[in-house]
Amino acid sequence: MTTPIATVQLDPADHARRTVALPGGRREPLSIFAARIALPVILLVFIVVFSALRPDTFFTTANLTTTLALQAVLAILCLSLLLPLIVGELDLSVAANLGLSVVLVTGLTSQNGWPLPLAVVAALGVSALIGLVNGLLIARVGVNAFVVTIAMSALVTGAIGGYTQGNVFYENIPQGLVDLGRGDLLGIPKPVVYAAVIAIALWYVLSSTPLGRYLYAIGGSKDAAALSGVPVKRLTVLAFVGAGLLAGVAGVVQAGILGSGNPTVGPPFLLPAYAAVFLGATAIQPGVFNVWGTVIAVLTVQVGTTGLVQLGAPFWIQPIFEGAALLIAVIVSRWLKREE
Amino acid sequence: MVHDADGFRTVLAVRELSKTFTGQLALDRVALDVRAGEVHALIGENGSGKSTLIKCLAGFYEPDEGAAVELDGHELAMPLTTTQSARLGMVFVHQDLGLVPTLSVAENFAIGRGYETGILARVPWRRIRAHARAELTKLGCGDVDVDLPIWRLPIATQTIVAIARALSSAEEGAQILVLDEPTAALPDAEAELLFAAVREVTAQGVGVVYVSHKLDEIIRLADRITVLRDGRKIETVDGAGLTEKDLIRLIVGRAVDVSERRPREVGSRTRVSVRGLAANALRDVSFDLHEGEIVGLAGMLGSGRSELARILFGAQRRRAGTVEIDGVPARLDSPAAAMRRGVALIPENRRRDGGVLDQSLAVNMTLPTLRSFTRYGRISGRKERRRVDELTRAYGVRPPMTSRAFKYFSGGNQQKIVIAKWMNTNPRLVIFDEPVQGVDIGARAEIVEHVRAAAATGTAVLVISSEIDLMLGICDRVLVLREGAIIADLVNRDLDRAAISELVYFGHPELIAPSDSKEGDRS
Repeated sequence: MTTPIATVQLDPADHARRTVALPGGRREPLSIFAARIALPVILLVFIVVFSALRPDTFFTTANLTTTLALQAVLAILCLSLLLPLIVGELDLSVAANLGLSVVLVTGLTSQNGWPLPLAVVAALGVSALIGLVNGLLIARVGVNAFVVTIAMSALVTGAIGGYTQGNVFYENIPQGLVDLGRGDLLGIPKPVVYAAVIAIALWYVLSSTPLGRYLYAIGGSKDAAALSGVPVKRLTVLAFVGAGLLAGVAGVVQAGILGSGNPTVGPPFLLPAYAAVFLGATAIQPGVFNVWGTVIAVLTVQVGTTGLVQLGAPFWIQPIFEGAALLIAVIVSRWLKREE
Repeated sequence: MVHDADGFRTVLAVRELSKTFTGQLALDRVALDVRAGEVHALIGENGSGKSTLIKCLAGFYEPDEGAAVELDGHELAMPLTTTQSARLGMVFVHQDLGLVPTLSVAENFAIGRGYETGILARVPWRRIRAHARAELTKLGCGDVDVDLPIWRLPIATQTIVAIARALSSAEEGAQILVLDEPTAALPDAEAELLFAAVREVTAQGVGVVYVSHKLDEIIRLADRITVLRDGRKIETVDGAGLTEKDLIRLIVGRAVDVSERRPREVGSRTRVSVRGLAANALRDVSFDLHEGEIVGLAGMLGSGRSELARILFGAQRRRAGTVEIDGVPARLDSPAAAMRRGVALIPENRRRDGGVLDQSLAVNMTLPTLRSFTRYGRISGRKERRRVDELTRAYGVRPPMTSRAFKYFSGGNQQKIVIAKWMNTNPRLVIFDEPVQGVDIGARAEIVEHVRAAAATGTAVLVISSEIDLMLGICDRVLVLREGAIIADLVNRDLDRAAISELVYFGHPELIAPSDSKEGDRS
């Protein structure tokens, strides 16, 4: 999505209210437009300021690629979360699901001697299956998503413990898996390429296909969507399957980056992922969970913390930064909504 | 003490009560006198102003300038507030009762009053239970177990608990009790219990304002009856000796504006054929709808009319029965399946069911027909925009802003959007559930034209409405649904309001010749 080039002017019909012309002849209130571009502008400001302050370390290819690569897995996990959130449900099991995918793809190859492609398919299949069970329990049985996915998260965490016996798989990891996560394509780190491809595909589905419209309609009103002929239950299940599958993809990529199967790798992703998705919902399309807002949120947090660390901030600046950014963003967008 | 001409003590006197909603007069200088110890019924059609009047008295709405309300000789400050009213002795029990179902009877009494606490903030449960028991005894219900949670009690008893609690909330003794549709959710068998309690209340000298649309109750219970029509008080009559027919005449009043009726061509081909349909509230419902025919479905709330609509649209399962559309059996097990067979439902509750509030007019309008705008699976923005612009213009949506969120449109314009959205599916059967409810006068005429236009395309149209005028104005035939069964199938040639009202309110199918007689002129 391109940031619209806009001109601010007074609306002749309502002199008190400033509006902004968007490409395509539409107009919108200045406050909404400001919310739309606030986060991208902040990201830009970070890049400019940190580059100016630390020209030798910050604005270098090496630093930028590391910064991006570090966040590719988080970005994929955030994208997985978008699907349930768009249909108005929560999925708290994606991080555990990511962790299971990491230990499955590393364990099946190194411990059980499976060929890599088969192990990848199995890991993704299990992740999607977890999503399917979540979705069926939530949409068909009608159990609260919060409870279902928290229980699922606990079950998956237990399964990880059972499979790994608490050990880290680091021997006999196939080189092919490591090659999936390391190195680059045309100078871009591979994980970043994966995240970008997934983001583009998801954006296309959500913005340009009937399926995307249906998912947003379900999130807006299950009753109205159902009475418009949208198969609400089936698509809710699909959203959870998609979330599970993408969490599995994030796990395989993470396994490739780490080159080992650590049973504790999943859970720490959960809160940063939620923080980024909610932060992302204040940008680009304010008030709506959206792909590019999410991607920009992930980048903003990462660029901000990397820059601050380079300026001498301690390591724990990251969660502080994340929490503060999220709170400020939701407060500002709340405030702008009231202006509307 | 205020006494009226007949020497009765007047406890509640309402004068010049008006209420305007965005330019529309909902109540027009209404006056009301309620005597001590009487049951004073308030009757009128939907939209006659009953509930607006109650809501003004309860302080939900602020009446227009100039209204005066006196309670036992004290002029009340405007706007009224529930706390002021309760202090001076006017209390309310609304249809939803306002009880917490999971808490016990005693606890519900306590939350109504605010917990009084003893040493160490301890709640004096024994005193609260005794208080609840004493208040219930006054209504002849001393045997209710005050430790039972509310949901375990029969609905009549729940209502009585709500009444007892409301009466006890008046610190200096209750003078007026307002009961707003107290029997709406009550099984008939339990009504007797409630009536006995109401009589206990009046025996204590409390004036009861009783709002209900069940005429048989009013005949049995009311000492006097005030009739509202179009926001005006028509008259106050003595209840003694009145029949339900008299009441209907009072409620309905004016004759129908026949000029609205227009002869129309109705096709002979059967579009929809329903046989032996049964579900929760419906039993053995059968009827046919023809090409281009507008058929009204009349019936009280709870007669099963909305359920019938939801079943035909696949939003609810039927227990038995078949539906054929254009001669082919239809399973109708989901709205999507019903849509594929050409059924469209314009639902009663626009804000909940009609549209996705936060999304734009355009997104709402194309939701059921998105696939017709795709090319290789991708929505063609240009194609969609063009069609949305056409529909917005054709259906006169104002303002014609297609990117504006659905929720910002007025009720009438929301309805036009929903109609456009469904007519774009080229339906064979369109069901309009209360199409003009909550719609301003101007939009009303436009929507009526849209209903006629829908039929003109050859679609079968089913119109559900509480407004008998609307039915008489636009329908070719009227089906009367009562207690889940179709009790009359009437050709709208020389129908009048009274005939339909009688059938709707207490069902006398034998008074009117069945419509089978006209089968001849159709085939």
